[in-house]
Amino acid sequence: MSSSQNVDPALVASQQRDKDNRDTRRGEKHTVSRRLQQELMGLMMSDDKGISAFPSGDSLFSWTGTLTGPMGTVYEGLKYKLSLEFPQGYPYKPPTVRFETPCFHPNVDEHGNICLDILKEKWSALYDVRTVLLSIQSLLGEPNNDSPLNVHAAGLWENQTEYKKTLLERYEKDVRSKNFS
Amino acid sequence: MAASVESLGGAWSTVTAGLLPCRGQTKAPPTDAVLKSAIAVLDHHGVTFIIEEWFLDSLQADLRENIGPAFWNHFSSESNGPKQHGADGTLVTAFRELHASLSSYLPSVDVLERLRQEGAKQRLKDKVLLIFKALLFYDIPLKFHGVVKEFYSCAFKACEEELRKKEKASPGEDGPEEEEEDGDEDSLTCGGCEHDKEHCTCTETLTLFHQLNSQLHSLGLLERVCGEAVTAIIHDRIQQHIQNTCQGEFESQFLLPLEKWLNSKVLSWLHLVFKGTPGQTGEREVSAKTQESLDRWQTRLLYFLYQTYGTLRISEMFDIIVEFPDSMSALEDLKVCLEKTDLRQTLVSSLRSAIGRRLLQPGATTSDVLSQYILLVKSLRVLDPTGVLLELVGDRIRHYLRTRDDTVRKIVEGLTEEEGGSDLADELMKGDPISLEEGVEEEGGDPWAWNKWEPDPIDADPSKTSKSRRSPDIISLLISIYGSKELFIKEYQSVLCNRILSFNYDLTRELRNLELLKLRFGESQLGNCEVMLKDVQDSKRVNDLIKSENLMEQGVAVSGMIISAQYWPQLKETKLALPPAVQQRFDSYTQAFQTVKASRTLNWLPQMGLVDLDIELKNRRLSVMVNPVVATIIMHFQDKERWTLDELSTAMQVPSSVLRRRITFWQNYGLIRENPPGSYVLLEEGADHHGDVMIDSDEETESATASSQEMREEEMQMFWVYVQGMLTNLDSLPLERIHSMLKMFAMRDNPIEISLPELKAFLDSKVRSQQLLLSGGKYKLPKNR
Repeated sequence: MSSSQNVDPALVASQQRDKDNRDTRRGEKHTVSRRLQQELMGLMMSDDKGISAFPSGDSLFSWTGTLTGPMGTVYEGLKYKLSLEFPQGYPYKPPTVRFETPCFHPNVDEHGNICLDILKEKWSALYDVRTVLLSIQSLLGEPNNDSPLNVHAAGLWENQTEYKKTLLERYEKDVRSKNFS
Repeated sequence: MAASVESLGGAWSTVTAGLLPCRGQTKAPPTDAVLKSAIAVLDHHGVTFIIEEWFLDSLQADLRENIGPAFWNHFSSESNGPKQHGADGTLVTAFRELHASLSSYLPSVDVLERLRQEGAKQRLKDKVLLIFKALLFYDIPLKFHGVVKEFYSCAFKACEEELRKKEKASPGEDGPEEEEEDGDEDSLTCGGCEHDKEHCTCTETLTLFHQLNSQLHSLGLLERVCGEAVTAIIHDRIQQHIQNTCQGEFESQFLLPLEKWLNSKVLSWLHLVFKGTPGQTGEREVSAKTQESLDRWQTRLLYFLYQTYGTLRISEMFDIIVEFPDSMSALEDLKVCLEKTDLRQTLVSSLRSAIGRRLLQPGATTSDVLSQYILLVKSLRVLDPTGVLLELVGDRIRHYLRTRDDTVRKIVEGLTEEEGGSDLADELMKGDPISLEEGVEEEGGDPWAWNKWEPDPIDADPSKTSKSRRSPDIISLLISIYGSKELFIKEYQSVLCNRILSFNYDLTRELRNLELLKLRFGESQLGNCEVMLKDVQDSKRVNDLIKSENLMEQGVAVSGMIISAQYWPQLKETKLALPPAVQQRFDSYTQAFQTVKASRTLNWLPQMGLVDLDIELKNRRLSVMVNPVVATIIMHFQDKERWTLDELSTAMQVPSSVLRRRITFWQNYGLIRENPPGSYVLLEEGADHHGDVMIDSDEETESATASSQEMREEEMQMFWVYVQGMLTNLDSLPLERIHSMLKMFAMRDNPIEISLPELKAFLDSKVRSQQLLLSGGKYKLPKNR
């Protein structure tokens, strides 16, 4: 199902008549902008708690996202900034999402890279910025400890009190002191 | 030799004695013969030329020492007696003396003239007069002008009075217009000299006047002495006359009568001054030069007349516009004045300030401003068909209208009001409207059109085409106030929606309006409105069908207005729980509808509509048409006599604040009483002071749609969401950046817009309500949110 959805119909069409390649490119870019514009509007109008995103500059293809840790988890009350880069093939290709705020988490490495299946092989054109952000938010509370990027965090996860202590120490050290967020 | 010297000396003394006027001397002057022989002696010795030099020299000395001071003495002495009319003395006496002293030199001048060689460049008389003028008027006391003016204005009045008397003696010559100038006939004072009629001095004054004129003329001083005074008097007179006859009178044209008046009265006086009374002894030959200067004078006076009249009309322009089209004549007059004078600038600035002072202020309602604007457009078109004046003056009103919230609504209401009700509706009815779609079309077809081309006036804005200005269409002008027609269509839609949902409409009229508007705005723009009206027609059909097929069980009649929500303006969503009995009827209608239109159903908006109620109480009956909320309230009292506000609010699912307001309707009818506060009782038997059948005069006509202001607030809310999103993720941003980001990301697909100042005001209001922080020129969200 996902494989067929992840084929850009415009791309198929362009392959069929690649004479007007450049034209289609432009049209393609236009439809991507349009889609992102709509996603932005949807995101603005939706009332999701704890997630938000907005284009960071003049381009619609590069956004800054903000999310707060989900309630009832060790991440509650912590605020993280992310960057979202959308490829030309979006939404048939996933955006590149990365934590800008250092994040101590089993599935996030020290550069902020996130290991999340829907951002890689499980990506579907049905996802959008909002669902991506919601997924990452819930990932905070429910890490996938089978394939950790941060082994230390993964090992510590079992002991929530200890984990929380380390998390807050790190957050204090990496974030608050450096006046991130 | 000695004899010849002696004879020379004798001849010289004879000549000097003969040539100089003998004032106060007892000795008789030498006779002509003696004088001639004496001159011949001098001639014989070849010293004739000395005579002329000597003569002029002694004339100058006399002027300087005797004549001049004596003349000015008349004016400088304080002992002029009580402030009498200048007519009686000083001036005339002074000039009479002056005339006499100069005349005494004149015979000698004649003699000397004969002596001169033929090749003389200048006539001696002219030379004498020149010296005379130069020496006499090199220094004029201030008072002199006053005296002159006084004298001439007396003379003018007397002259006018004379003229009037003459006219009265031979009436019917010049038509009735002369009548209006007649003052109060019965007054005892003479209009000319303000003396009692019995002691009227007019005739004397006139005699003196003619005397003085002819003296001045022969002295060559006429224009020099009285020119200024005469001009001033005539100007005063013109101003006064225009003020008296034309002020506040806009319904007839005045220029022709004024010109006639100027020619017949004022100029005739001028001629009197310069030419003397025709056919009488005082009449003088008029030199070509005088005639020329008279002609110039006449042109100047005519210009002054136009200018004065134009200025008067310009100062009254605002009232002229108010009275349009009755003031058409005044406008046409003013048009002529503008062509002949350079008053355009004055008109623009004076009208602009009058508008600012009298119209553009909070006291004036928007519809007043609008109708005044329409009149302004129409009147200025008369003055200036190119529309430049309108552009210069009207933009102030346009700017102002843009700041009023209800302008669009008022325009739309004006456009679609009952016929005859407003100028705008008439304007819409006018045939051959210019479609806003195409702009002004080429005036093809007429190959001679270029022939009629005229350049734009100099004060035209060169950046605009003259065609755009010339368009006479008021509606396009009004619509262009906002620059977009979408706004008007939106507003029309909401006005239409209100009318339909308050069941206060006339379908045929609305259809006609729609067709007329289509001609203006184009079919495509008004598609929604067309659907709305079609909904009305369809609903009627469905209702008829349901009724005729008996698809509903018997009971209270319900007819629906089925609207296609997609095409209607956003309706205010308020809740209302209907009484079960009514709800059941609604359900039954829904079922009936479903059988008529398979696979469709209805989604009711119960708070909108109109309920026809008959209320029967113990001692009275009532029949009213009311809003559903009001009807529901009273229906609840059918089951239970006493309700508290909270109970009612729960039962109806209507906020208690709204409820309280609505209940007052029944309180006014004396059906419900609040007792104790917060609790309401039905008055089965009330003091029956409202026994008659009353039709609901409708409480505040509440609009069903969001008004444009509310819509704007909604839009602002949308911007606010974007701003919050922006600041959540990007921390802090300066105003310009927020604006450009909104432009890029929020306004791209939306027709709505926000200007930088508007955004600033909006954000600053958020700062005041502490929803935003402003530090270092950057906005940010407060920390813990």
